[in-house]
Amino acid sequence: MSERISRRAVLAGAAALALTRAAPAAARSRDEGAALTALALAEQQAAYVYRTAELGGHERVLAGQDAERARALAVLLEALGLAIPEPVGDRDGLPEAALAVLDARGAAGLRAAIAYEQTLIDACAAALARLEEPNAIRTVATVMAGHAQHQALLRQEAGIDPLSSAA
Amino acid sequence: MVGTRRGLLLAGAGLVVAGCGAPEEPPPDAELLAPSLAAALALADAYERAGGRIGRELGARERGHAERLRGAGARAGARAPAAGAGAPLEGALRLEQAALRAHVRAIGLVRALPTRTLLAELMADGARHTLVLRDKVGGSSIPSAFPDGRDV
Repeated sequence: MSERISRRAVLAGAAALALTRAAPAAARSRDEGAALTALALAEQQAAYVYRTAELGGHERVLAGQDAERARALAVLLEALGLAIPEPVGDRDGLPEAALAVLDARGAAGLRAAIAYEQTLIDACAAALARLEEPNAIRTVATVMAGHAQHQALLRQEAGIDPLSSAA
Repeated sequence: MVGTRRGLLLAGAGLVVAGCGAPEEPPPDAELLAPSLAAALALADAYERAGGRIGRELGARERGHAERLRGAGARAGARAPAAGAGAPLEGALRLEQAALRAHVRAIGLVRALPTRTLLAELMADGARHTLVLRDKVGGSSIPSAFPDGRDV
């Protein structure tokens, strides 16, 4: 009898342990998924912006690379069983910094793009704190480094020191 | 609901794993950061040897990186990557790539969030440096979609 009680107690204890562990794990997973979804959408938007903007430089290269990053983030979302954001095909829902790139011309367009890249860097930096999975962390950190490189290129094209923090 | 089921499955898997022996723990953060510190110091030396405005500027930035890594507890004495033969800035570019690889490896494993943030910032700075160096050594200044030290 005592053995049966003991087994039931062990099983109940294991179930309780599973539940107490499950809640934070599920919450973490949801937060990680939300962070990755937001970043995938941001990359889709960036791809649209640089496909459409007229900056007189390497914007189509940037568009292609942002689309590649969106695909890499989509792979992570698929692994979590989450929906992948649709490609962006118009201005609806674009953040203000992205619209500024589309609406400006010449030097003002480059300055807007430098500022836009900073918002993408900041979004990656904020997301990193919400991630758990090592490869997701590495992917997002590499995407962030890629935006730092885009920003340096845009600074070069604007005649600004690429290593400075000036916009 | 799906998240809860998934969480339960993960928790169940966790119990099974616990019963079979935990997966191998990554080394302590100090150890994980050691290759990044060695690469930053090698870069600082390489830039100082290269001289000129870019050597001075990037050398000072790499000394700053090394200082921040020490502040995060990085262990000293890891094997430094080799710059290899060729012009000083070409060697520096190879070292920047080695530093990026070290940061990428470490960032997925470090436990402290501020250390994760530090490594991400060093990766961003390293990516900027590689763009400038590629321009200087006569390559192109076309960026990379994933500047992880394995990109060309």
